[in-house]
Amino acid sequence: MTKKTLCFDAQKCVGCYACAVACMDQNDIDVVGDGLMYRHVSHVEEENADEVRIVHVSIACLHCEAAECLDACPSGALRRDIASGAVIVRRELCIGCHACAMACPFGIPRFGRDGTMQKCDACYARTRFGYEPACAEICPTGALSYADVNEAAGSKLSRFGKTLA
Amino acid sequence: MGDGFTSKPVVVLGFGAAAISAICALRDSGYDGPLTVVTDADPEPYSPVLTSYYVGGRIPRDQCFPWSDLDVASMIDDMRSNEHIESIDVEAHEVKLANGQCLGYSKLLIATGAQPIAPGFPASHSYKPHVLRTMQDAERLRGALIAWPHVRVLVSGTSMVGLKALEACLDREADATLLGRSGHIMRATAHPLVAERFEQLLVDRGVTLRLSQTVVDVEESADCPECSVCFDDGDVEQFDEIILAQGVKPNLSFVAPGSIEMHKGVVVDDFMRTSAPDVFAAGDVAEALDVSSGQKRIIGLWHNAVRQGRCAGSAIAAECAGRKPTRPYAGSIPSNVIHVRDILFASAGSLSEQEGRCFDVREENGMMCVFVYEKQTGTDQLVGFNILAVVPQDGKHDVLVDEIGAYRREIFNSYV
Ligand SMILES: Cc1cc2nc3c(=O)[nH]c(=O)nc-3n(C[C@H](O)[C@H](O)[C@H](O)COP(=O)(O)OP(=O)(O)OC[C@H]3O[C@@H](n4cnc5c(N)ncnc54)[C@H](O)[C@@H]3O)c2cc1C
Repeated sequence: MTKKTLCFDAQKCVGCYACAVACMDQNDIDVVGDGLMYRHVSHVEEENADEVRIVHVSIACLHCEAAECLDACPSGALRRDIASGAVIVRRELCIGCHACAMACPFGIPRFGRDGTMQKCDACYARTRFGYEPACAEICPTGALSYADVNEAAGSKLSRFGKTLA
Repeated sequence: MGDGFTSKPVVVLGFGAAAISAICALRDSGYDGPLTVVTDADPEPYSPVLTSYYVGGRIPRDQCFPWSDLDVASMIDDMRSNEHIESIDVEAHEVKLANGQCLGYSKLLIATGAQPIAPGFPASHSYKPHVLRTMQDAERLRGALIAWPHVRVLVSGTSMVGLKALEACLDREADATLLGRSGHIMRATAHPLVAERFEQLLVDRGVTLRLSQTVVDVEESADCPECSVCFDDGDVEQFDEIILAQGVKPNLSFVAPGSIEMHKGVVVDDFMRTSAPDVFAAGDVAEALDVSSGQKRIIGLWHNAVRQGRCAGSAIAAECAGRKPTRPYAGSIPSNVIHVRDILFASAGSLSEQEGRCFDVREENGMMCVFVYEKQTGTDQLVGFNILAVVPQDGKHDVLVDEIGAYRREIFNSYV
């Protein structure tokens, strides 16, 4: 079976937040209470020669191939899920030391009331059973998709990731 | 092949973060030859980072072993635990153990970490101060802190390990005094303004500070189990326990002077190779590239130990297969995140006052931040930062705290 990964195409994103809401629903995140959002939608002004255009960006953990957070975690709380390739947090092992936050160039790790780190797990509990991650499944424009790793290698997501890094 | 050593095992000295990363990388890179590990500790590897959390009661003992679900043992052919290394003979490619045995090696990785030192701290005849590095150290300190309520503890040393030990003491509701030679805590990493605010926050949380002071004498009285500690300003105070966290030195007593290029640690190249043929070093023993200064030096952090270990492992695998190693160590910059109670302190890069630098000191949302820029034509370049924050009850930080990794990367990227 070919490995799949989350892809993002900024050309198709309209900034509708459906992905962020689906993520909150999937992960039972109560943002009115203590919950922390795992997926964020930002709106960036892109200036070309004669026009200014708004680019919408939906971003969550990129599950980097060389994930710095994994190397930095001293407690074994971060692990790679072999089947999905997702970097997952075992919160029961997290000591809240913020070493992952210092290592991640994308500002992904967030810490809840209990001090442990929380972030996107690429819905590995869904993908294991053949479902798409909630954000990709809901995306009405196809900006977020769950595609073949080889296809994703040249996708906007990886290019976007490199620019950020 | 052809050097006469290839049938001998790869020998790894030490079994911590650097060693284990190297072992995994060796096997992942296809090395399937014999592998021997020598460690002076038990066969189950622990994380020194977790010891203070265990001492403070935040995690149970079994959580101090972060590799317990990774089957490292299956990657090793010959595990020598609780063994001391006497010496290494880099000419003969041999490791001599304290039990008299000799181990030949094809490649050797030195990953023996570091041990606490206490320069200038007076020895007491009968009282042995605590240190914090190994599980034994942690067990002893934990036992002392839970012996009775409000144990009076003197923590000597105000950098990372000192503050971690302090945090463990506070977790155990000890009456803690923090002692430092310098006028400020975190001398190497904190801007004086940030350090001053940090100190105030510690005092507000019940910590007694003794800065710009040293201990001149420690005496344990015969009839009660407390120490009289005499400070250089003439004060004498009673403490139940003393924790020394004044610094560390690499565990390299088995390396004969002159046999490998060493300063404070073993000097390594981009592939963790030392000056001795077939000898590599990684982790807290290795002087590797600090990109911010361009110098080789030890930056004793977990993240560096893991990355250096991995680099060494894949380089050893490549050389064993007759190939040139291809994945160099990219170097690192000093960085740090420390928590004491609800206080969070993060720093990276260089905070030193130098010509051509400007300091942007900000106080907002209960935080104090210092950003250091090097003046350049166009935009100024970020070269260091300190962020000191009190974490709110709901754990939700200010966005600046969430961005510490992005700042660190910006600084790192400016040098490479
Ligand atoms: C209390 C504490 C808190 C810390 N907190 C942080 C933190 O928050 N963030 C961070 O990045 N870093 C932290 N560090 C530093 C971090 O733990 C080290 O940088 C890291 O563990 C280094 O890994 P290493 O493999 O080089 O050494 P170690 O993990 O120390 O491993 C060395 C190994 O060598 C063995 N050994 C030593 N001498 C010999 C000998 N003569 N013969 C045989 N075997 C030997 C030891 O038993 C051990 O197995 C902390 C350290 C301490 C002590």
